[in-house]
Amino acid sequence: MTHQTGQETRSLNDSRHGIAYGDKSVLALGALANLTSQFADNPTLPGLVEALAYTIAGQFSVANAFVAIKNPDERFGPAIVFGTGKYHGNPALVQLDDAITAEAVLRSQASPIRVESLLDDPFTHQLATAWRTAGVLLIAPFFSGEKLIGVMGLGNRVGGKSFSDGDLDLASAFVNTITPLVANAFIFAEISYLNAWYLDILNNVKQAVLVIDENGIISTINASGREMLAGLSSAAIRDASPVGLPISRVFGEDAFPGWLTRLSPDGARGTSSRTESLIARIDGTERIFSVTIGIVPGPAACQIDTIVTLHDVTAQKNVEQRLFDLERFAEKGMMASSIAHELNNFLGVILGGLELMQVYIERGTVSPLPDTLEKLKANVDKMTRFTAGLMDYSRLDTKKQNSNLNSILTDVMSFIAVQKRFTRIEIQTDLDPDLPDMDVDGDQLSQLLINLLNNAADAIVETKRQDGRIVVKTRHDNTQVMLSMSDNGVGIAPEVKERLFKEHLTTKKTGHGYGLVTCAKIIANHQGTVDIESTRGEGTTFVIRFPR
Amino acid sequence: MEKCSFDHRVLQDDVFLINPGKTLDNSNAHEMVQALTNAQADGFRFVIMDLAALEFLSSAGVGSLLGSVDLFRERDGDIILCNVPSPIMHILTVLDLTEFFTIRPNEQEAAVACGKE
Repeated sequence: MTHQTGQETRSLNDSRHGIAYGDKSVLALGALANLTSQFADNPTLPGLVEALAYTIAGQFSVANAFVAIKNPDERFGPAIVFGTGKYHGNPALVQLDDAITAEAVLRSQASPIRVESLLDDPFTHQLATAWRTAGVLLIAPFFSGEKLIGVMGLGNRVGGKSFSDGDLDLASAFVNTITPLVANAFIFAEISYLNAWYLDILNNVKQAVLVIDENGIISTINASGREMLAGLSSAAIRDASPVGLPISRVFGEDAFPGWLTRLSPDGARGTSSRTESLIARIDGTERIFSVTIGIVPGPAACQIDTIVTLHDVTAQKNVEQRLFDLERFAEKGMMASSIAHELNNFLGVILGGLELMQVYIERGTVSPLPDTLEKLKANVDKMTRFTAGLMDYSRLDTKKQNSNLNSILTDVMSFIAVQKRFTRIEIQTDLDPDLPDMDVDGDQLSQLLINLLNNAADAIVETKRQDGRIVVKTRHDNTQVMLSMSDNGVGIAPEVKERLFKEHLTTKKTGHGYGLVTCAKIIANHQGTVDIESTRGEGTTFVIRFPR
Repeated sequence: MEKCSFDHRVLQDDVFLINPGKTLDNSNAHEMVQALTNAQADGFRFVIMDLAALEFLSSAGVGSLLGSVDLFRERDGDIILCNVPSPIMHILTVLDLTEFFTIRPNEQEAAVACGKE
């Protein structure tokens, strides 16, 4: 009898005992057939590892044999190992991590490998020493493609006999034949773990996920789906698994009017996975679901299934409605405060005018009074317009006309300068004499300037310094008109600066936090931009740019 | 004796007899190891394995016996095979195990090998 090894043809007759290795080969084939029939259809890795360990023990007449296969998913623990005889439960044998380190060396040798031959190689020395200490004589690695997935090991032959060349040839053929079965089991286990992982993910999704086949039968449902359907279905459905049931039995047409048609694959084809709201009536109560319907390939060829995700958003929608109501309520309060704040600014200007008139009268200078009165009247008119038309800052009516920012600025300054909060503050102006006219709402820009000047004055007063100074500049170029306003006040903290125009914010004890919101609105109404440079303790510069 | 999934009986104080039935292979190799381990743990020094009914012995079946023999021999006991059918004996011969296993033609002689007759 001969046995083809691939390298040479060798007689397998063992002359010492007169036993043909062909008989051993037949036995080995029987063992392989036995393993294959048991594990081809159901390749459970732990079962295969155990059966393989017993098989190699018997086939090679050893009391102690082991098989270790790397766990395809390390989340489920270390290698799967089974040993017979003294190797049973011996964890020191495995060291698969070390074996993987030595993978290249193991791949380079013809299998099976004598453990003694691995002692001299530095990559395998430690591993081989551990095996030799445990009494392992032969090992055979299992590879799945290029990846080492496991190893089997054989101890001493019983009766003190040694492994002959014939034994090694047979072992080689055995390993070559068994490796695909081991690799298949490994891949199967990898897929099983992946399936389990995906199932875990699916079951942890808060939305109900259902897959419905072409006949309207529920083929898959996740944990949230089961939970949701248990609350929706009749008692008869509640106690059974929904898998295998027609969707029409689970979703009553009265609860989900018109949607059963949508859930069929034909209906779903036109849906293209968009999310919609579905109002259902369950036990007389209206519930709102967020529903996504799409199509997925089914398990059979050409089969198209429908995948449905349902999320009960009734509570969320109720909260959203309450938040919306609260927001509207808050907005009304905010507007009232904002209006009061702006009126206060106008009153400040009027008060300034009156104080100026008082000075004129005390000095007996009457000639400027008509002009001052006229300006006061103009400001009262502005107040009237404000109360009439600018009550709601979010709907600021912008009435633009051709004006010059320098003129508006001068006008504002004449009233501001006499207010008490500005009496100790020097206001310097550096106005561009060639500043072009722009289409602006003069009232809104006045309001903007007053707000910024008031804020600058307050920032200076806070420092208690005697050399308070506000510098107002105007500039222009081909594309824009620029206004800058610098103060040497307390400055703005960086974290406050970030939020300055985004929310109603104040750092003042008596402030409302709406002045800059109004400024932002006015700047936006003129398609302008604002930049702020500020250093704590040194001051702040606002740079506002308007397009020409 | 903890539960044994094979036909079994106690022959003497420290002799336990197991009849594995028609098949000893992958499907029941581990059960056999468990039965032998339990017998040893329960104080039986000898197990007589009556193979009269055995029609199929796979490598895995042989492996289950090989791995368990030392459990008994280390305690001056043994696993003794008896009533070994000819095809089964052929397998043991092919695997060069006829000298390793203690084999007796029948239960009585197996009992003698246990030093009980």
